[in-house]
Amino acid sequence: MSIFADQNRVRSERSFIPEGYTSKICRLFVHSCRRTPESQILDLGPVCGENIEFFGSRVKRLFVCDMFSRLQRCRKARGSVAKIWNVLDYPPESFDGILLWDLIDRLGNKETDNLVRLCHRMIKPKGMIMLSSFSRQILLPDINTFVVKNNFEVSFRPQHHLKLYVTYRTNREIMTMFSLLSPVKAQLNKNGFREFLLQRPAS
Amino acid sequence: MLEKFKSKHSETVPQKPGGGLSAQKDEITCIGEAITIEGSISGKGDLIIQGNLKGTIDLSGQQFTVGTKGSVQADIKAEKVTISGKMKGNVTAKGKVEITKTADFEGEIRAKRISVEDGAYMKAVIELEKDKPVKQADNKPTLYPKNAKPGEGLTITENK
Repeated sequence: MSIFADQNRVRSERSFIPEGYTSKICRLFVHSCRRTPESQILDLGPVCGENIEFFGSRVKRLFVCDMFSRLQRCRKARGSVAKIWNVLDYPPESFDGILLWDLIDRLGNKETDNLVRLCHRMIKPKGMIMLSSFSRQILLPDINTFVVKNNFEVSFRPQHHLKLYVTYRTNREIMTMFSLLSPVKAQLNKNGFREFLLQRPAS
Repeated sequence: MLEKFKSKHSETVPQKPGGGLSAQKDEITCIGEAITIEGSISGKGDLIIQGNLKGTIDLSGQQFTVGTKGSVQADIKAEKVTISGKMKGNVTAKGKVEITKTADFEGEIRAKRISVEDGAYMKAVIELEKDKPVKQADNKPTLYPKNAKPGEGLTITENK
C-alpha cells in the first residue's frame, strides 16, 4: 500500500524532527563492509558532511552520489525519472556496501524496482545494503539527513531544500521488492523508523 | 601565459597582514568571470577562479578556490581547496577540502580532511588520509544471535 504525502498534508505542516537513536544495523553494515582493506561504500543519500567523514574514515573509498537532489531536479523539470539512474554507471560488483537511507520512500514501485536491480548489479557478492523506511505512524514528507556519529548514534537534520513525495510500504512489500537480496536483519526503532540490512548472495 | 591574463584581466589582491590565508603568502590571484583559461597553472600564490578554467593546477602549499560563479574542469593539487561553484575533475589536497552548499562537483577527492555543506550537488569518490586508526567504540558485532538456528529468516527486533 502506498500513501502519498499530499494526502497527508496535515503532517507536513508540522515541523517534526524524529528522535535520534543508536543504529545496530549501521554498526553491522560498517563492520561487514570493512572485510577488506580496499573496501568501497556507495552513499546515495542526501549529501551530509558528517557522514562523509564518518564513513570515509572507515573504508578505503567512499562514493557519494546524491539521488535525492537528482530526483528533485528531475521532478521539478517534469523529466523522466528513469533517466536519473544513468548516473549510477559504476562497474558491476564495485561496492562492499550501499547506503540507501530512506530513498525508497521517495520512489514509486517502478522506480524502486529499477533501483533494486542497479544495486544488485553494483554490489559485490556478500556485499551489504542498508536502507531505512518510515513506519506509518511517522510518515513524514519532510526530508531529513540521517547524521551518523561515533558509536553509531543517528540524529536527524532537516533538508529544507528537498521536497519529495513520501510513500509508505509494509515490511512485506519492502522484502518483496528486494527479493534479489537476502535479508540479514531488520529493526524497528522506537522513533518509528525501520531499518533493514540486506545481503547479495555469494553467487 | 597566465601572467599575461593576470596583467590584463585578472586581479591580484595584496594580502593584509594577519588577515589572510597564510603568513607565508603575499598575494591572491583572482580570475574574473569574463575570463576563460585553458592550460596548466602552477605557482606559489593562492588562486580564486570565478571564470572558466580547463587544465591542470599545481599549487602545492597554497589555497585554490572555485568561486560561486566559477566553472572548472581540471585536476588540482593544492594545500587547501574550496569549491563553491561548478567543478569536474580530481582534487588532491594535503590539507582540507571544503565543499559548500552552492557547489556542483563531480570527480575524485583525496584529502586529509573534508567538510561538505548540506545542499551540495555531487557525484564524488572520496579517499581520506588515514593518519591514525579509527577508535572503535564500535566493537565487532555479530550478525546473528548466538542461539540463532541456521537458515533462520529475517528477525525484526525493537530498539528500546
